Amino acid sequence: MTLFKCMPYVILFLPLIGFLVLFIGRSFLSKRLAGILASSTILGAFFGTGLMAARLHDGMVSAPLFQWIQLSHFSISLGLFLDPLAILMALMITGVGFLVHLYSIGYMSNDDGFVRYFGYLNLFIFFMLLLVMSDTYLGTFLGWEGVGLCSYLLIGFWYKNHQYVYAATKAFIMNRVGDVGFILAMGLLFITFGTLKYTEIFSSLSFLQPSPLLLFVMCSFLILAVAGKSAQFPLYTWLPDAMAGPTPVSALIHAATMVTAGVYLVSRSSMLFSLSPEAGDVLVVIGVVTAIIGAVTATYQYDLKKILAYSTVSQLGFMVVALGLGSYTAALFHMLMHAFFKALLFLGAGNVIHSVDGEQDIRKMGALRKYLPVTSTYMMIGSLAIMGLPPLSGFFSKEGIVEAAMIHSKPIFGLLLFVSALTTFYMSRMIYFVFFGQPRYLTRHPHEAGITMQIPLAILAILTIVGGMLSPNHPSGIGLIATTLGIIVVFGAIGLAWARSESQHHSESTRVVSGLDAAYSRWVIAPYLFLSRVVFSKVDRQLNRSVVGAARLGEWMGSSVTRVQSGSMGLYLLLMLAAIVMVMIKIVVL
Amino acid sequence: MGSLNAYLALSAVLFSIGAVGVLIRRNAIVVLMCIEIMLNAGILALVAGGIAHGQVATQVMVLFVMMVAAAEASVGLAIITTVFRRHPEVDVDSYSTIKW
Amino acid sequence: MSLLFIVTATIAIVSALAVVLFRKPIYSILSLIICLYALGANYILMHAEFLAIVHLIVYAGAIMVLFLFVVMLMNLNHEGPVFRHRFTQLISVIIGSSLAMVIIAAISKTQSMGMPTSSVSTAQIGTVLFTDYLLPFELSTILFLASVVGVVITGKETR
Repeated sequence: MTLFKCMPYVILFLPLIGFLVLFIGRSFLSKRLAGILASSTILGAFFGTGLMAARLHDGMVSAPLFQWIQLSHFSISLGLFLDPLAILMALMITGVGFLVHLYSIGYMSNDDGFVRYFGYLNLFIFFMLLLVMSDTYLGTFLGWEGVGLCSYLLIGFWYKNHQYVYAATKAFIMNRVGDVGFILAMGLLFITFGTLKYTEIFSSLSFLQPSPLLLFVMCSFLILAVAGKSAQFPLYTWLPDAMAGPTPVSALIHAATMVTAGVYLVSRSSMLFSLSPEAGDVLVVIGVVTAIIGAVTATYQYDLKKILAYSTVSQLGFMVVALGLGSYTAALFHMLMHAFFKALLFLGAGNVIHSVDGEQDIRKMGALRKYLPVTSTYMMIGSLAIMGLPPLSGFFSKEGIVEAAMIHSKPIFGLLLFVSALTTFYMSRMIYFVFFGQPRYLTRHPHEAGITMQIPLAILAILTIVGGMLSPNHPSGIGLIATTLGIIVVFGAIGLAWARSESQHHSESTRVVSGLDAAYSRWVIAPYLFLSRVVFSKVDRQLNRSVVGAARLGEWMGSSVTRVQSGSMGLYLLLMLAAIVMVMIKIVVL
Repeated sequence: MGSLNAYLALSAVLFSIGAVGVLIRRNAIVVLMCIEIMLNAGILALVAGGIAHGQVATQVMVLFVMMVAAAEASVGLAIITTVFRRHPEVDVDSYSTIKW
Repeated sequence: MSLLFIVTATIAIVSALAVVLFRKPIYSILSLIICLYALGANYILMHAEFLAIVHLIVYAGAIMVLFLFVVMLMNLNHEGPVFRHRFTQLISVIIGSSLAMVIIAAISKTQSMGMPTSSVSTAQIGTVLFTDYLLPFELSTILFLASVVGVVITGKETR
C-alpha cells in the first residue's frame, strides 16, 4: 500500500498505539520518555493529516476499516472518510492537541499520574479523530462516546478528591443525556435510509424525500446530542465544573475539541439541517440563550478558569447560532479561531495558576504583569481576540457570525451584539484583576513558567494573530468594523473601571448562577434518588435473594459432587464397575 | 460335560460374585480372596474357550495367568502384613485414614 | 448337560457365595478352597487334566496355604465389621447381578459349541510351551524374582 493510501490509518491509530504503550508500560516508563512518546504520536498524526490535506485539496478519500455486523439483510461496516471537513477538524485536533501535550510535559511534571495522564490524552485524541474521520454515524458515535469517557477520566484525573470525581460524573451523565438523542437519531436515520453511511444517506436524500416532520424530529434528536456535548442550554452546567481537571485538559477538551464535536456533527449533517428550517430555528434559539447565559454568568465569576469556562459556553452558543442560520462556514471558522485563542487563554491561565502556586481566585491575584510579562502579553492577545479586535483572528470569525445574523434576523443580531459587549466586559475585567492593580496574592514571587510551557503559547499566539488570513470571506463594510471597535472601546473601558472599583472595594461575591443546577437538583436528582431507593428495597432485595439462592444451589450441587472424591477406594471401584456395566449393557442390548 | 456357553455362563456368575465381594467386604484379606475368585472365573472362561476350539496355546496361556496370580497374591499379602504392623487393622475403610 | 457338570458348577457357585458371606475370614478361606476344588473338577470334566493338576497344586496348594498362614500367624481371625453400608451393599448387588446378566445375555447370542472328548496331552502342552512360548516362560522367572524381592523388601522390619 502506498504511503498515501495508508495515511488515514496511520493518523487514526498512532494515538491509539501511544495510549496502549503508555498504558502497558505505565509502571516502568520514565516521565520524560512518556511525554516524548505521547507528544510524538500526536505530532505524527498532525503531519499525516497535513500530508493528506496537501495532496487532497478539495477531494476526498475513503479508507475502509472493517465489517462490524454482518447479517443476511443488513450489515454495518466502519470506515474512514476524509473530506475537507474531516481534514479541517483533524488538523485542529492534532495541532492543538500536540501543543497541549507539549505544554502538559511541563505542567504535569510534578504529578505522579504523569504517564496515566498522557495515556488518557492520547486515547482522547484517538477517539476524537475517530469521531471526525468516520464515514458513518455509528463510527462518529463510537468516537462521541469515547471522548465522553476520556473527558470523565481526565476531569476526575485527581480522583482522590471527591468533588472532582463528582464533577467528572456530572459531565459524563450530562453527555449521556445527549447521547440518547444521538442514538434516537441514528435509529431514525437507519429506518429511513437503511444505512448510516454519510455518503449513502446524503445521496439518497433527493429521491427518498423524507417528510419534513421526520427530518425535523431527526434533527431535533441530533440537536439534543449537540446540547449535551457542546454545552448548550440546558445541558451546559457540566462545563464550568469540568474545570476541576488539569488546565491543559480544559484547554484541549473543553475549549478546542470535544465541545466542538457538536459543531462537527451539525456540519456533517448539514444536508439534513438545510432541509429542515425549523430545526435551524431551534438551533438559533438554543445558541442565543446559551450565549447570553454564558456571558452573563462570566461577568461575576471570581475563579479564573470558570470565567474562561463560561466564556467557552458563550462562544459555543455563537457557533450554534451560526449553524442554525445555515452559515456552516462561519461556524466552522469561528470554531477554529476559538480553538486557537481559547487554548491560548487556558494555557496562559495555566501559567498564571502555576505561578501563584495553584491559586485560581482572581481576587487573590493582581499586578502579575510585572512578574509574568510574557504570559500577560499572551493573555491580552487572547482576550483582544475574543473581544473581536481587528485584525486579530477573533474579529474575522465573530464578525462572520454577527454578519450572518444581521442578514437573517435583526433581533438575533442585536442579541449577539449584546453578548459581544458582555464578552468585552468580562474579559477586560478578568485581565485587570489578574494583571493590573495592586498585588493581592499570598505567596512569594510568582515566576514565569519553563520553556516547554511557553512554546505552545507562542505558537498559539501567532496563530491567533494571523489566523484571520484564513478567513473564507472578508467581513463587509466599515460599518461593522466601526461597531466592533466602538463596542470594544466602550465596554472594555467599562470593564476595566468596574474591575478597578471592585478590587479596591473588596466586594463580596454574589451567588453564582447555579440556579439551573439547583433546579436540576430538586426536580431531577431528588426524585431519581427516591425512586432508586424504592426500587432497591423492593426489587433489588428480591433479585438479591434469587441470585444468592442460585449461588447456594450451585454450592449444594458442588458439595454433593465433591463427596465422590472421598478418597475411598471402595467408592471408586464401585463407580468404575457401574460404568463398565453400563457400557456393556449399552453394547449388548442396544 | 457342559457346552461352551454353559462354562462361560458359570464364569460370568463367578466373576460377578467376586466383584460383589470386593465391593462389599471390609476385611482386606477377604477382598483379596474375592479378587482371586474373579481371576479364577477368567481362567475358567479361557480354558473353556481354548478347549472348545482345540487350541493348545490357550492352555499354555492359562499357565502364565496362574503364575501371575500367584505372584500377585503373595505381594498383596505382603503389603497387608506391612500395613498391619503400623496400623493393626485389616478394615479397608480404615485404610483411607492412614494417609493422615 | 452332564449331571457332574451341574453338581460341580453348583458347588463352585455356592462356595463362592460362601466366601463373600462368611463372617470369619478362616471360613472364607476354606470356602475358597472348596470352590477351587470344584473348578479343578470342572477342568477334569473338560479333559484338561494337566491344567487341573497344576490348578490344584498352585492355587489350592500354594496360594491358599499362603492365605491361611497369614491369617493364622497374624491372628486375623477376629470378626470385625463385616460388610459396608447397607446402601453400598444394595448398589453392589444390583451392579453385580446386572453384570452377570449382561454377560450371559451376550453369551446367549452366540453359537454354543460342544466340548471335545479327547484330552490334550501334557507332552503337547510342553512342546508348545517350550517352543512357541519360550520367551514368556523365561520372562516369568523374572516375574517371580520381582515378586519375591518385593515381598522380602516390604516384609522387612523398618528399623
